[in-house]
Amino acid sequence: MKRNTIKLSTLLGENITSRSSLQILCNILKSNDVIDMSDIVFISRSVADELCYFEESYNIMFVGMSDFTRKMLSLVRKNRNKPRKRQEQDSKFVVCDDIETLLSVVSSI
Amino acid sequence: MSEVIIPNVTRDDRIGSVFNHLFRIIAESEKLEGKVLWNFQDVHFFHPFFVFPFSLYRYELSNKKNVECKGMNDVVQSYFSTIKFFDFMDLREIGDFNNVLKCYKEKSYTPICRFSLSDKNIERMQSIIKDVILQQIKLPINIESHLSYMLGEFVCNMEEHSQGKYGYIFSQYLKKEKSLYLCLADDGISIYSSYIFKEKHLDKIDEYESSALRLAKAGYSSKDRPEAENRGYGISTNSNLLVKGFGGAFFILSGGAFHREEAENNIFIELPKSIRWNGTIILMKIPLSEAKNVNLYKYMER
Repeated sequence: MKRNTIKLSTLLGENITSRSSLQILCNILKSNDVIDMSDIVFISRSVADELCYFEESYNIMFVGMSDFTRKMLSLVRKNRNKPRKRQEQDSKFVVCDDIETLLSVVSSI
Repeated sequence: MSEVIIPNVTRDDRIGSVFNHLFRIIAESEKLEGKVLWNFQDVHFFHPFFVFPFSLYRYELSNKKNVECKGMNDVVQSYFSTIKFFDFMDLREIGDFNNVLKCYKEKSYTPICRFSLSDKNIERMQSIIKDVILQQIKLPINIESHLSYMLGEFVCNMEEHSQGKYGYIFSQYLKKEKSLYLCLADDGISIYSSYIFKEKHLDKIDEYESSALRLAKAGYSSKDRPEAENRGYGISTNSNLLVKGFGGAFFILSGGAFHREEAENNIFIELPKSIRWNGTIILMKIPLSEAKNVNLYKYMER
């Protein structure tokens, strides 16, 4: 079966940070397509998550990935369907009822 | 006519402490009817974490009242003009934007850039600004991916969640401190309003807007898929990267609450009902002296 190849950097440039920018890809993507990731320098975690969704939904294959994009996709893929482990941090909480209290709190913390 | 004396805000001892001055200016300005006169006679320099939100506040106030500025010396006037304090650097044509920003590569600060959150060229804009910042730093370190990650995740949040019209970016590199000060903002609904609007995690939010900040910080997204918690990493991973990775500081003000995180200080503050910030502001202090040892991947997973 011949797979159609889409070079992502031609569509979206070498830095892809916005999930919504992938709408352009979504409009032309078909099942079993190949996404050529060569010349992509950076993808955000949000973009990686969206690409994983395309991977699952359209059975697509990625080729030409840089070390960075491979690591980002791998990291997101690994955690995508797992429950989050959340660490509650120690933090203070202060309610300021008026401006005087606020100014006093901000200058002291 | 009553006037508001603008203080000379040169330091930000604990991240966001400049807001002590800005909240005071807001409180005094809001009391004035019709015309607001700001007196800059005492001003010689503004810390980047003050000048950025101050510029945004001036813009918002000028939509409601007549704001006049007086007493500005030539140096301050020139600085304000260069950073586009009064009129912002608007992203229109990418080509123009690229050419106009070229002259900032030899400076230590960018202009205050404004971009439409529905603009198709947001990716390219981020790339251009990132390149300018890297040129300004002039250090033999590679933080390109780290900077791309910070800008990318926060701008993505603005687009996805804020329902705002504009986003804003400003940065300044203070060489003496070897630290980059990066500021981002949107003019949309607050983080608290975003959860309410999406009807997500309402069981975890109480009447305090700071509860929403806490939720966002812990990684609860208003857009998780029903079967997985696959989103909400932007704020949590970036604040970890900044504070634990770089040893820097993180500040976020959204609607009626703000949060500050530094090495030994992690606090959420609920503002009085009389003060509210329309939208969200993020301030990041990024020390660069140990930047080459910061492993981005380590903080992306948390």
